[in-house]
Parts: sequence; structure tokens; C-alpha cells
Amino acid sequence: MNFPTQDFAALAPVGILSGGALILLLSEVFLASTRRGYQASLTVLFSILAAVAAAGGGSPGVIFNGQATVDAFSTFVTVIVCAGLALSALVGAGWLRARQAERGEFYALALFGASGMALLGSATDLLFAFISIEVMSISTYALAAYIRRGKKPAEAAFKYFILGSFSSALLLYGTALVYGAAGSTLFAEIGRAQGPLLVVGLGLVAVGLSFKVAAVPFHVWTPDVYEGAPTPVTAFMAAGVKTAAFAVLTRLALVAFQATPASAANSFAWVLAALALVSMLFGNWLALTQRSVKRMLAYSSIAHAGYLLVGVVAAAAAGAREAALSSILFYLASYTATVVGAFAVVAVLERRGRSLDEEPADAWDLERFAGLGRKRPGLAFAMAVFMVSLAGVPPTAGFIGKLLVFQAAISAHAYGLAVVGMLTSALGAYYYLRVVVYMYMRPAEDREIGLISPAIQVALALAVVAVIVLGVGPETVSKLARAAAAIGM
Amino acid sequence: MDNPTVAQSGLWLLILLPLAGALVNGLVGRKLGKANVALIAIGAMVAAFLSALVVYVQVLAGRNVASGGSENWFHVLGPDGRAMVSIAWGLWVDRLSGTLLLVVTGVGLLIHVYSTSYMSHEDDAGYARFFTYLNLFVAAMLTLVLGDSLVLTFVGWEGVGLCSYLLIGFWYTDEQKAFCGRKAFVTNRIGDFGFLIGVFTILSIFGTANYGQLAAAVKGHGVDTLLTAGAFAGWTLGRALTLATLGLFVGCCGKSAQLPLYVWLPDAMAGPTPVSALIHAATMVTAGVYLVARTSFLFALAPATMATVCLVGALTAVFAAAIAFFQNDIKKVLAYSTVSQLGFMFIGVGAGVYFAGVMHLVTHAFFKACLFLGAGSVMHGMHEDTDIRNMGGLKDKMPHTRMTFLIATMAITGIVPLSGFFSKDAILAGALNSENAAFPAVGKIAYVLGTIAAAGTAFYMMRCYFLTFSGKPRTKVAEHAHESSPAMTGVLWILAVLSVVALLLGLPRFEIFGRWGEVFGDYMHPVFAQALGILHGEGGEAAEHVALWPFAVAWGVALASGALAWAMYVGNLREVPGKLARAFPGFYRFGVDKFRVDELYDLFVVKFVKNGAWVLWKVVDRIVIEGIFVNGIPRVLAGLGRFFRLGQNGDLQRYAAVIAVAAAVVLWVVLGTGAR
Repeated sequence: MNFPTQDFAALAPVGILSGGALILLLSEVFLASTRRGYQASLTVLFSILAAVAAAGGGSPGVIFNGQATVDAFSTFVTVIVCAGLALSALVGAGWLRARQAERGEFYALALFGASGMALLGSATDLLFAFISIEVMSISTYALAAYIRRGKKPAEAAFKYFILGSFSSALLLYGTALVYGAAGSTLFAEIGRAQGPLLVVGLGLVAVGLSFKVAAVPFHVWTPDVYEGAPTPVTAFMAAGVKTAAFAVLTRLALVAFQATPASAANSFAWVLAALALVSMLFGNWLALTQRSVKRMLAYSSIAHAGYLLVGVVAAAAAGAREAALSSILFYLASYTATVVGAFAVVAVLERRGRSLDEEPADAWDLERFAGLGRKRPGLAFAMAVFMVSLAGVPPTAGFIGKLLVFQAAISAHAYGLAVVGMLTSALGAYYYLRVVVYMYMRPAEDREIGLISPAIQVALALAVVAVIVLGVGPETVSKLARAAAAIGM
Repeated sequence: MDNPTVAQSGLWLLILLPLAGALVNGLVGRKLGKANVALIAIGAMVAAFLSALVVYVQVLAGRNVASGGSENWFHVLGPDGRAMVSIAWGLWVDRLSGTLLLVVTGVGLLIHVYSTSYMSHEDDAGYARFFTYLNLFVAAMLTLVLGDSLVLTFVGWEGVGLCSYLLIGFWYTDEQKAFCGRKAFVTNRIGDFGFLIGVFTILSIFGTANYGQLAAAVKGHGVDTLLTAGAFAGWTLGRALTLATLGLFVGCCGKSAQLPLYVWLPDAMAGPTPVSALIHAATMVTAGVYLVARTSFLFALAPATMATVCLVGALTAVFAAAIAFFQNDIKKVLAYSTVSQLGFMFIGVGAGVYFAGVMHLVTHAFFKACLFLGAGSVMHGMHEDTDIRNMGGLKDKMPHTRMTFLIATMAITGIVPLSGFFSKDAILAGALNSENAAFPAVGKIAYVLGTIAAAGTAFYMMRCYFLTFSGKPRTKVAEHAHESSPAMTGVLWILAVLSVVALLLGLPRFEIFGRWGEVFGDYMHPVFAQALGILHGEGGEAAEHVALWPFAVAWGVALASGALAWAMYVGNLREVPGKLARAFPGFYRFGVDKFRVDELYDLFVVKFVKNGAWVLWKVVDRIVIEGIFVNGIPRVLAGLGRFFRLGQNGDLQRYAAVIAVAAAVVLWVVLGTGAR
């Protein structure tokens, strides 16, 4: 095989991200100073560069003989991933420094992970997708284990690794079956094949991807891993991994929906609809009983995967496809801004043990938020904005995202999913607003005000602005999302 | 200065400036000290007024100024592909909203200045709180006026309602005053419910609430156009719009204190007097009139609503004037007078003489603000006593207050040549000549009722003036009354001069006035052209009836009635009021008790709601909601949650097993349905 140079040029954002990772790795070797403040800034710089390169690079279209496609969709995904990376890096800077764990490896791993995510956004080949997933996953496995000082992080990382490998195996097995049926792993080709082998293959691939997006019942790893991983990493996983995995799931679902025997396409839509349904129900349900805010956010991310799956299901109806795809993209953008912000607040408030190795059991308990409205009005306001956005209340980004998704579901005549989505959103308001209640209506347990650094303040400010701007004036971004939705046409 | 983009960017600034003032004063005002608080609040108002002037230069030049509007906030497509709901943020200034803009910022600025002195007895925290609310009110009122859609107007509508509530209950430690605030709020909610019904009806007819788009949507359509899509498919446009506009008008009745929802406004006088002047006389209560004028092209397509507006206005004008006869509290007299004057404005917009309604809104803003502020000045002099029976002879003690109060009284009474005469007369003459398509007699009825109300106005206002300022002091306090500070009297003079000068707007179309005849009507014409086209046929105009006799009648009525008041309270007939009260004691009590409308509402509405609420609380809330929903559902859900958490015990093998089983189920489903 022979790839022209411009195919590589089209992947410039990925190149910038991996180049940045290498530079940060080398910086640890050559700049043996203890001052590492520049590392987070460098990470932010590289992610901005990558986003600019993606946005300015145009849409060269199909590259590498169809294995990847750089189009408006992949550009949108890349920009979201870069934004998530930049915000998480800012959150990470202060958090790591306080735990004396700031090293170049952390940022390098995040950058490598982001490059995998950016690749995944443009993958249109099962093998290409598999490799991108592995690039992304291995970095996040390592990041989850980045701080090995307690039992929990190590356990979480190990679980994530084992279960992740399991799902990768399913994905790879599915890929092999698809290849057997279609004689190719290109998305463009597999849509033309048929037969039970293809259906089983695609089913296994879908299972593997459902694991990555944390849809019920493939979500079992999520609460433990989200809670055990260092908070900035959790933020990065919730934002980046979800975005990238949904990007490839969407592209693959479009292939499956357009498969030749209509019954196969229908059965796919049914499976995804069922996953969406149980994810919305169980995600919200289980979040209800959580007292640890971090774990609550983990379950909430499962619920949000459910809402996003509603969008994917809506894309099965040709008439609603553009609306559905653009709603998914908008939802991902709004969710990224909101969830990174929410985890940033969690990172600020997280209780630390007296020594570095100690793990307090109630590190993220709701009580930590009591009286925050008086102690730190700015921080409490930011958290309130994020909670309200996650609950889907106007005028925040979360509201517009849900509006667009349910609207797409309604125009795809998936009324049941839309209704369940709205009802479970109402259920979700309970546990999101409980945080707000604690912040504003409970007296503080102590005068401790958490650990805040300028970098986190910047990240919080950016996230709040993004959430409100996307909620008040969503037109600019939703226009871009509509343009990016052209892949389904 | 006449660069349109400057004006455009100024639009949002207009709202943001007072909002910023409110924010600063609200957050740190109590630590800044009174002088700084006043500086910030007034600075914001001056800046807003100047920006309003910049914008208005554009409007005068014939250019409408818009900002935003194309940016959709959200846009929902219905199943049939039509826009179901389309909402945008946008501001819009044309000659109508521009005029209101000047009134709100101009009168608002004057009242801010007046308040610096009037409120100076408050402590620092109260002073800052007062100006916070006042600035917030101006921001909300400007949102109401500048919003280019019913939705944004509603945002402002609720905002001014909130500020009104906060300011009526400003002295909230007084239980009675706090109650008055709640009464205003609750009464307004009833109206707001109607407003929302109107907005939702309009959204389901047209899919948009933007004024420009609505105007374009009804252009060329008549009352009989059949709607083909949406919730009102099969209705005629006229019928659907009658529902929508009646809903909006219910909202207007609440906000603008019309029958039967006027009861909150007299009680709103519990607030500080500058608040009564700004919110409950000059600006907020006229929002209903503005709304009808703003959506005139919709009301014009619903003749039944127009007739309702006109009649409700006329009845309110008479009814409130009648109550005002019996009031002895200077602020209460002015409050009922406001209700009555708002009734006049609704006669105007309901009879299709929109410009006259708006003109009366403007002139009323000047003279009623002047009257209220004058009353405030009197209260200062009288140590917060508001009973006019305890006053008398204040004309020498408070010369400035007396002169300005007299000018404003003559203006509201309708003495030629003050502004009130022309605006009120334009309304009455216009109503007389109007022809409602549904109920042709409505204009004549409104004319008769309006003339009676005008006679009443002349009487009770003159009575109020004479009792307050003429004769000899009737109490010790009145003997030692003193004039207020220049900050207050200066504002009074500006408003008094304005209530004279505003006559220029309203000169009738007589030869001798040349191009000044109906200058305001001509100026407003583009705004109402569409509505007038619907009412009088495309291109047609209201028939020109410039008869002299309605003017003569109006003048005669005002003079006669004013003279009667003079005779009864200063002149030879001084014994008559007392005799009348003794001759008809039952009726007199009935009048003093404001015709017992509050008691009527208490009996039928409030009791009913209270009892209903008690039942709801005991049965629905305690048993159904608390028992089943609040405690039951979470208990069930939490139980389920605990059950599912059994699967979430951190055991890796079990996790893997869950995934494997689930994957098997997925494969079974896809194979079962998809392989064949």
C-alpha cells in the first residue's frame, strides 16, 4: 500500500498531539528542575495548536484508501477532545502539584490519549478504529494508575485494564467475523455484505464500543474506575473517551443502519434503543443513592451515555439523521464543558489524608459541599451552573443538548425514548440539585475551603462561560454541528 | 453620533448599565456609604439615558434599531416540519419602544435623583437595597420595552413584577406592608397566567413570538383566513387570535390594574413614594398599554378583544374614579386616579386610536410622577402623615410643591392648555368616532363612560388639591410643615414643566396649529399603520372627524367639575360634603370601603382558594405527594438502587460475567431478528 503525503498532512492534529507528548516526555529527561508549571501550559498550548490545525485544515475527505476520513465530523470531534484535554490539564496542574506528583509523563500520557481520540474521530475502518481505541485506552489505563499511592487507584486501574482488554478482545473478534463476512474491514465495504456472520461481527463490535461509552449493562467498570482514578483523569475520561467512542459508534451505526437486509438494520436500532433505555434508567437510578459526588457523577455519565444513545438511535431514521447527528455532536460539546467543570470542583474540594498515602473514605462526600455558597461563592456558583446544566435546565448548555437530542428522537418517531429521556432527566434533577441544596442551604461543617489554584480557576471560568454561552447563544456551535452532520447524508 | 452600529451596540448596554448598577450596589452597596451608592445608581441611569438619546437619534431619523434577533436561542421543528417554537434573543427599537425608552430612562433618572433625598433617612443597608431594586427595575423595564418578541417582553414583565413586589414590601418588617407586596404578586400571577396562555396560543398559531415575524405572518390575512396547520387547524384566524389576545389582555389587566384585577395597585402604595411614582404610576403599570399597542396588528384582527379592551378600560375609568371620591389618603387618591387613567389609555388602544393611548401614557407619566413625588414631598413635610383631612394651608409652607402639584392637577384634570387635556381628549374623540366591527356601539359607550370619568377626575383631583393646600392648617403638624430639599423640588419642577410642554404632542389637527396638528399621531403612524389598515381597510384611514364640540364638552366638563370641587371644599358649599355623608351614611361607608371589592374577593376567591389549599395540603400533599411520591418513590428507588448495587460490589470476575452475559444477550437479539 502506498499513502500520499497529503494523507499524513490531514492528520496534522494527531501529529501535533503526539509530538507534544514526546516533547513533554523529553522535558522530564533534560529539564531536571523541580519547577514543572510549564508542563500544563505546554499541554494546553499543544491542544490549542491541534484544535487550530484541525479547524484550519479543512476537510480533505477520505484518506489512507478509505481507512480514515477527515471531514467536518472528525474536526468537530477533535476540537471537543482538545478542549477536554486542555481543561483537564489545567485541572490536573494544581491537583497534582498539591500531591507532589506533577510529572511530564502525566501530560504526555494525556496527549497520547488525546491523539488516539482524535484518530478515532476520523476512523472509517474497523482495524484503524481498533488501533486508535488501543492508543486511547492504554494511555487512560496508565493515567488511571498514575497515582499508585493508595489501594483504590491501583485497583481501579487494574480493573479498568482487565475489563478494557476483555472488551477489546470482543471488539477484535467482531472485527475478524466482519472481515470474514465482508472481505474487508472498511466501513464503506461492510455495509454491502450480509449474512449472520456480519450480524454477529457487528454485534460484538457494538458491544466493545458500548463498553467504552459506558452504556448499561457494559458500564460495570465505570463507577469504580471513575471514583478510583485521579480526579483530573476522571474528567478527561468522562469528556474525551466518551466523545471519541461516540464518534466511532455513530459512524459505525450509520453503516449498520444502511446495511442491506432491512431487518439487520432494525435489529441494530433495537439493540441500541434498549441500551439507551436501560442506560437512562439505571444510570439515573443508581446515581440517586450516591453520597459520594464523584461516584454520583460516574453514574450520571452512564445516564448521559443513554441520552447520547437516544441520538444515535434517532439517526436510524433517514429523515431525522442530520438532526440526530448534529444533536449528538452538540451534546458531546456541552457535556465535555460541563463534566470537566464539575470534576474540577470535585478536585478542589476533595478531602486529603494527613499523609500522602492516606485515603479518607469520605473524600467526595456531599458534606464536603455543605455551606460552600458562603465559604466560596464563586466556586459554588460554578458548581451550581454545572449541576443545572447536567440536569438540563435552561439557559445552560445541557438544556440545549437535551432539547436537540429529544427533538431528533421525536422527529425519528422514537417517542418512547424521548419520553423516558425527559422523565429520567426529571429524576436526575433530584440528585444534581441535592448538591446545590447542600452548597446553599446546609451550614458548613468546617472552614476548610479546599485547594484552589489559578489554573483550576481558569479552567472553571472557561467551563462556566462555555456552559452559559452554549446555553444562551447555541446558534454558532449548533450551526457547526449541523455542518458536521453531513456525513450521514 | 448617528452611526447605526453605535446605536446597535448601545441597545444591550441600555439594559446592562442599570443591571451593573444593581449588581454593584446589591453586592457591596452597604459598605460603600450612601453617597457612593447614589453615585453608582444615578451614574448608571445617566449613562442609560444618554445611550437612550443616542438610540433615539436614529429613531428620529426614521431608522429602526435592532440588535440580535437573527440568532436563534432555540428552534423546535414540529412533526410537520413547521417551526413549532422559535425563540430568539433580540432587541428592537422603533418609534413606539423608542418613546417608551425615553420615558423610562428619563423619568427613571429624575426619580432616582429625587430618591437620594427622599430615602436619606434609611440606614446604609436599606439605602443600598433601595437603589439596587430601583436599578434592577429599570433594567427589567427596559427588557420589557426593548424585547423584540413576546418571550423577551415576558422576561421583562416578570422582572418588573419581581421588583414591584420587592419594593412594595421594602419595609418588610411591617407585616401589613409585606402583605401588600404579596397581594400585588399573587394578583399579578393571575394575569401572568393569561399572558402565558396568550403567548402559547400565538406560538401554536404562528410558531414564533417575534413581533416583526408576527406582523409579517398576518400581513394580507383577514379575520376569516382559515388556519390549516398546528393546534388551531380549522379555526379562523380571527377566532384563534381572539383567544390569544384575550389571554394577553388578562395579563394586561393584572399588570396595568384593570377590572377585575386592579385591587393590588392601591395597596401597592405601601411602598416608598418614589416607587409609587416610578413603578405604580409612570412606567410598569403602563406595560399593559404598551403590550396592546405593540401587538396592535393582532388585536386589530380580533374585534371582540378590541371591544373588551375598550369596555374594560371605560368601566375601570369610571369605577376607580368613583372610589377616589371617598379616599382621604393622598396616595390612595392618586392610586385610584392612576387606575382610572390607565382605563383611559385602554379605551384609546381598544378603540383603535393607538397613538392617543400611547400619548396619554407619556403625558400621564409626567404629571402622575409629578403628583406622586409632590405627595411624597407633602408627606415629608407632614412627618409621614398621608391623611388629607389633617392637612390644609400648605400652600405657603411648601410653595414649590404646591405650584407643581397644582400644575400637574390641572394637567390631569384636563384644563386647557395642559397636556392631559389633549391626550385625554384625543382618546375620547377617537373612541366616539371609532367603529368596532363586532360591537359597533362600543365606541359610543366608552365615550360616555369616559366623559363621566373625566368629570369625576376633575372633581376628586381638585378636592385633593384644595384639601391639601388651601384653607387653613387643620393640625399642628400642618402648621409646622416645611418645604423639601432642592433635589426633590427641582425634580418636581422638571416634571411640572414637562407636563405642560407635552401639550405640543397632542395638539388637534386644526388649521391654526399647522404642521403641529397631531404631530404625535403622525409620528407614530408607521408603527400602527398595519393595525389601522386592518381596522379601516387597506390604505384607508379613520374618517377625519375634527369636530369642535367634543373639545368644548371635555373642557366644559373639566371646568364645571373642578369648580364644583372648589365650591364644595373652599367656597360657599363647604357644608355640603358633610351633609351628604350624613344623609347617606350607608352609601358613604360603602364608598370609603372602596365598594368592598376586597371583601368580595376575600369571600369568593381568597376563601375558596384557601380552603382548597387546605384540602390540597391535607389530602394531596400529605398523603399523595409526601406519602407516595416524596417518601414512597425514593424509598422504592433507593431499595432498587441498593439491590442493583449488589451487582456493583467491586468484584472483577462478576463484572466480567455481567459483560459476557450481556454480550450474549445482544448477540442473541441481533441474530434472532437480523440474520434471516
